[in-house]
Amino acid sequence: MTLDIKPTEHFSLATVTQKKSDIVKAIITTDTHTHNSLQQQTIEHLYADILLSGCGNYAREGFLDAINMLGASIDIDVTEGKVTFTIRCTAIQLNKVLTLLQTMLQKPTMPATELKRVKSTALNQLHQAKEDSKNIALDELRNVFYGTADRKYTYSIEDCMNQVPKVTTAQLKKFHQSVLSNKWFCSIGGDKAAIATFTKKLQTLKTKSQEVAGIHQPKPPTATLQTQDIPSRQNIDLSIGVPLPITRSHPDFIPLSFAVAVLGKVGGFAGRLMSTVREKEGLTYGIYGQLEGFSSAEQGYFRIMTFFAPDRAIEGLNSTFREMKKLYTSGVTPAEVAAFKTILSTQQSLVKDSFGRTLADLHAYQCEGFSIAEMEEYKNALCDVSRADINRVIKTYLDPQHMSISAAGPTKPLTAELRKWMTQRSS
Amino acid sequence: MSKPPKTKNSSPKNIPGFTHIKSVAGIDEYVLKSNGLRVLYHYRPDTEVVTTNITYLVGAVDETLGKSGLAHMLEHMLFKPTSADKKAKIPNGSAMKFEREVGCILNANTWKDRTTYYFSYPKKYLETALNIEAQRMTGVILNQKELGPEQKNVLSEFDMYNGDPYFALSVQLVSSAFLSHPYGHETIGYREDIEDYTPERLQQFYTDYYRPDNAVMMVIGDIEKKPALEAVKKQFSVIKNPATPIPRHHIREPKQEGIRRVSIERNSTTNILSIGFKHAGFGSMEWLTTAIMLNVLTDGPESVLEKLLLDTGKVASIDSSQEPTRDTNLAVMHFTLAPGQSHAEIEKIVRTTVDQLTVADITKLVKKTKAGMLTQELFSRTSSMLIAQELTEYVASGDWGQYAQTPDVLKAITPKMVVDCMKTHFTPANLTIGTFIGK
Repeated sequence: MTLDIKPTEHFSLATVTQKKSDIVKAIITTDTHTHNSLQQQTIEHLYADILLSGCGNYAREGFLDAINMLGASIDIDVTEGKVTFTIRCTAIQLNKVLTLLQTMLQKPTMPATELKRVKSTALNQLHQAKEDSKNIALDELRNVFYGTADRKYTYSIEDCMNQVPKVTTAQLKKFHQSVLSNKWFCSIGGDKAAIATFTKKLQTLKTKSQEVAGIHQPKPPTATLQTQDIPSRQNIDLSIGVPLPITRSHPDFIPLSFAVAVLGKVGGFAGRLMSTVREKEGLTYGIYGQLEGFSSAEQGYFRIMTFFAPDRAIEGLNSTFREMKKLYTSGVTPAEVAAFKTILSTQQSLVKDSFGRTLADLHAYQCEGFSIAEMEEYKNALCDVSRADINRVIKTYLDPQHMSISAAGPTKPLTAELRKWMTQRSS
Repeated sequence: MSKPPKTKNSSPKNIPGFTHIKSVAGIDEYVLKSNGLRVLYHYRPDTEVVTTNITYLVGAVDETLGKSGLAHMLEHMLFKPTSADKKAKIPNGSAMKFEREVGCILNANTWKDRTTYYFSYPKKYLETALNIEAQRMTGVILNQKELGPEQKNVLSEFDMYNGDPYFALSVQLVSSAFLSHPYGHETIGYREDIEDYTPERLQQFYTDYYRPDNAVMMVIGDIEKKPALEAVKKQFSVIKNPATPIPRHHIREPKQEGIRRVSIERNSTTNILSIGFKHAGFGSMEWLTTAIMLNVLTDGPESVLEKLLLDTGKVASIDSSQEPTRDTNLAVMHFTLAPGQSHAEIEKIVRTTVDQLTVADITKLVKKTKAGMLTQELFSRTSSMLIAQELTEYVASGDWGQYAQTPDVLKAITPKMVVDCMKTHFTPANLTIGTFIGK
């Protein structure tokens, strides 16, 4: 596999070239975010479904038939103003699939009857999300960190449900125009012929682009406790974290990433939290920590995600905060630095085993504006960081006293105890 | 006819110490002569990565009453120290050390008919990975000190699943669908059984099933065949099988004579209708026909039931599941009701619709589903871990050679076969229906 990233005037193109490939996967991402609002978030909730609801001469069913008869798929994801199209098909069918993609993007019909259906479906999905404790814990934590105009702020399910009926076709079309006009970050994996076909199509599709600057509105860190009672759940889902006043481009980001991996590397059992809170103490099935929401332009936050049984929640929090305090007080050890340099280096080399992961990894880097050389430099820097730097950023950014806690699940019987714990922790 | 070009993977089939069984679609099967360990080898050049995956033919199907979830609990214990680790003073065990010092991908999963452990790593660590698998095939220490915390983790895992209304309802559904067959309990087992595990109980299960003649080792990746198999031989050939045969429970499920029904009530805003039906085991054309049928009915916006129920706002979502198990199992369609809808009404619509579907109604849907599944087959062969994952299910079903046949079998399935599948599967004597009632 050969990797490349080429910027052009209106789009950037990353390629994973294989000598021979029967399949093609392509990803297109564009960032539409200017400011978050209830209306904007609701529009984003409806957009994917309405865009797939007919285009050109196709009614919804005809369009979906045309894609699926080719054994292909076009998926659309909208998250925090970023719209991503993912195309999967066989190499033989690529040309036809791209023609359908072009029709969908250039001639969407968004008929009123379909909008009615889309709204009804969205309302039912929102109702269903009311018991999704993991996501609710995350949303409530982020709402502590960010103002309502920030893309990381999530309006309540009830508010969104009230807003859904008010969304108009004109608003959806305007949103679609922003998808078309903003800069595209495109990636494709396949053989040379497939890449050439895709590139040619992009040149036809993308003849203009504009940069947008979104509102980013973090609040100063104040440790708070949020609880959301969802009695039907068995465990209490927790998101614990703090907003961080740096972007991905800041020199502290790399040593901070390293520190967070030592504490709570996502996946597997290597992080301190997994080896103590889970393995030694048996308090939870999974506990991980990571940096989220960062880009070269936007600040993000640190978050631990886990869950505890209600009767072990206090014990679990004590254990989690003990580990955070230990990291904050004593930092990482020389042995941990050596081990995690190998771990992070291995993780990078394992990506090469998978066509899908190679493409996803490359796409993520190019969306951040990296060239191939910069991507390599960044990956090397992660494995070349010093212990002194890691321990310095831990002291700067990961004070357990600044961590907020968001809990969702059967919290009602525990709320008083949790509040008492939070007060005692701060004193 | 010209000879195919010689590649590293077409090296001689004879490898000392092994018997070659067969080669299909670039995968070679060998048996280690000294103890019957089966090995599947597949070469993927230029990645520098190897995945090793060992599958033991033991799962929930081998558990008896009161001992549900033992196979899964044991899976957790295989990440604990072995006697060799104790001697070498590796307190957390070699598997954990391998991840914590090297950063390999490691994990395991237990299913109805199998328990699988895998590592994915840079190829220079092949010997290390195989050594860990060999050590933990027989050497895991099972005592209360090691079991205690892990037992709590499994209870935490159980609660995580059980908090999900779909899982909770599925537990009740399968236990109603199967009166006698061990597929009647979920792999994780019942909470009460998990609480009662003892080291002795686990040790007996471990001794019974963790043995070379009950395991299949896969080596997939950027490593040539000869050194790969020689490394397997070096690590595993000294392990001996117990003199006792592998315990198997040959249980025939009693005949079902009408719809079985089950219900759960919880303080919740969720309401679910689940319709389960029994289907043939994995690897067969019948299993794939059932998979196409489920797609036609429930998968995607053009599916019959999404159009009828989701597009009209009667349900919030539709999901379906069909497990790749060796024996007859229960597939399930879950319908999450929109507010104000009744379980009975949705059930009536689903069953009436399925009863009335004709070949003409579904011909286009079958064609689309097959096209999508064929593309998916190609995508599922694009990493060593994905290949191992898919191959594992074929191994557990009894004939891994079917792995290569799947595209051809899929192509041969006709709309009529799918309609016939509906007619035979959606009969009262084959259905189990569950309701999750939010109060």
